[in-house]
Amino acid sequence: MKDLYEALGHSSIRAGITRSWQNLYPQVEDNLARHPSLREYSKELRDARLRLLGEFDRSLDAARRALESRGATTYFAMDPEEARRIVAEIVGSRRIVVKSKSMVSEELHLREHLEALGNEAWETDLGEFIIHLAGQKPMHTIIPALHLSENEVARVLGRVGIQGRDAKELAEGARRFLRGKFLKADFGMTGCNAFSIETATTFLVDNEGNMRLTISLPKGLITLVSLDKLLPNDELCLKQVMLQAAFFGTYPPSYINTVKPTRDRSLYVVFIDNGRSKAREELAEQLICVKCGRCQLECPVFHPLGNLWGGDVYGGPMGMGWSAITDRIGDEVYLCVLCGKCKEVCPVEVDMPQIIWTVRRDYMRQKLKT
Amino acid sequence: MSKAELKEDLVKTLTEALARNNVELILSSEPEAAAKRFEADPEGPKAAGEPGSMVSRALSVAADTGLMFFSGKELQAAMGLAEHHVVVVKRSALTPDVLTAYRLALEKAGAEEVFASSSASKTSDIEGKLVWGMHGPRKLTVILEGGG
Repeated sequence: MKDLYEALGHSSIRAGITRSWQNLYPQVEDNLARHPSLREYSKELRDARLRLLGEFDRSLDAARRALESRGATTYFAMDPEEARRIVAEIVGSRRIVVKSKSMVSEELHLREHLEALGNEAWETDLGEFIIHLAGQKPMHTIIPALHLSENEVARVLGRVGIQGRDAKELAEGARRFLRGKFLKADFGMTGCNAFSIETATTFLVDNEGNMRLTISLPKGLITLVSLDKLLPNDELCLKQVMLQAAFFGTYPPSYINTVKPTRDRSLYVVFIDNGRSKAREELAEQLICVKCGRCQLECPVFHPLGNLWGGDVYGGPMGMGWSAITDRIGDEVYLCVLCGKCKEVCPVEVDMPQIIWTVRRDYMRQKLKT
Repeated sequence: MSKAELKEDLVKTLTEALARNNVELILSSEPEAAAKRFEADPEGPKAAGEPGSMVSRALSVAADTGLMFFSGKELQAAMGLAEHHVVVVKRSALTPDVLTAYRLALEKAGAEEVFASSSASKTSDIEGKLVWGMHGPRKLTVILEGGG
């Protein structure tokens, strides 16, 4: 709770979240008005994803077979320790790894682990790069550095020699710095927005173009696919990434990329459980979340506290359930006022108030035991 | 609506989408000839990894969003590194929406990965201020077959 009291003293968190909400809310409304078919995808995706939760084992086997028959190497990690061991064995040491933003890699603390083994591991999404250098926790799922001012960003980037007076100059400096890393990288590492079992294809969206360089320049590519990202076919994957972008407020995304096994690249796909199969009974609703981050920007409790309200990685309304699944959540879960705004704005209508009741009940049961 | 009217309708929808995405649009009856002046430096990428402009051909285009689909790993890398990305769009590549465009791209791409672009590279990660050319092209130009 100490972090939360500190957060209340940082007006930049509230200011950053309010600014992001003001920028993105009209865009979400515009996206949905201009592309009404997006709303039709919601129900289809919700049903498909809930159906797949009952078939994790079969889906995982099918996904691994599809990848391996096309030449990829696959792995399965039950927990973060196993995932770190697998990725460390693939990468080795004294290598350069360029990463695109991935919440699953945050769950696993992969970058820190690779660095500890003597590798250079670079976040390449600008916001995540800033947070990486600042040694902080991302303040929002999609906009990690929303709480930092231009001046603060300049100080942070200055640690690696990047100079600039404003956002444009700082972004230019980061472009040049990271371009050098891209060109020398041994491995690229990505998360996964959606995975098509039918065609063994990973779908990835971004606006900065770092994803495209991450998957196309290094000779080796590691993709981290959490079990909740599995979908039966390409069309549903495409619908999911479009929905995710539209409900965040950036539709169309600047880039949609797909990754398939190819002859000229070593592809390593690591499937991650980390609490997901265990959570299928009681927290199934959370597992269908597409992590667009909209619930965070709409939440009255998240506004003054940001991602400091939550677990080690995930914060805000979606962060209560995700933290309970992948790590733990404490007293913070009682700060939710159960207003239901999160469920109202969710693209797949995740029942977050119900999830929070469940997490509270489990927390209390645990507390009574100890 | 006749086929010709349908295509005209798609052109109008695409023109609006490209304008929203801050994409430069050139209409040309000879798009390949118009693209010549943007062809990349024949020496290829410079040492700093900034290869200037590059021209590619869209396999398919979704008129509703301006998302243009491509295939080929080398092309993907070159597109990601270019300062200025120029796309030649034939009328036959126009489709109404993203799902139809994706299906058409898959048909043309065979076993290769397909990928899509709708704008130049951008970020708003510092104080929500929009900056073009974060990691990829700073500018995107579409040369659309027709008119001119």
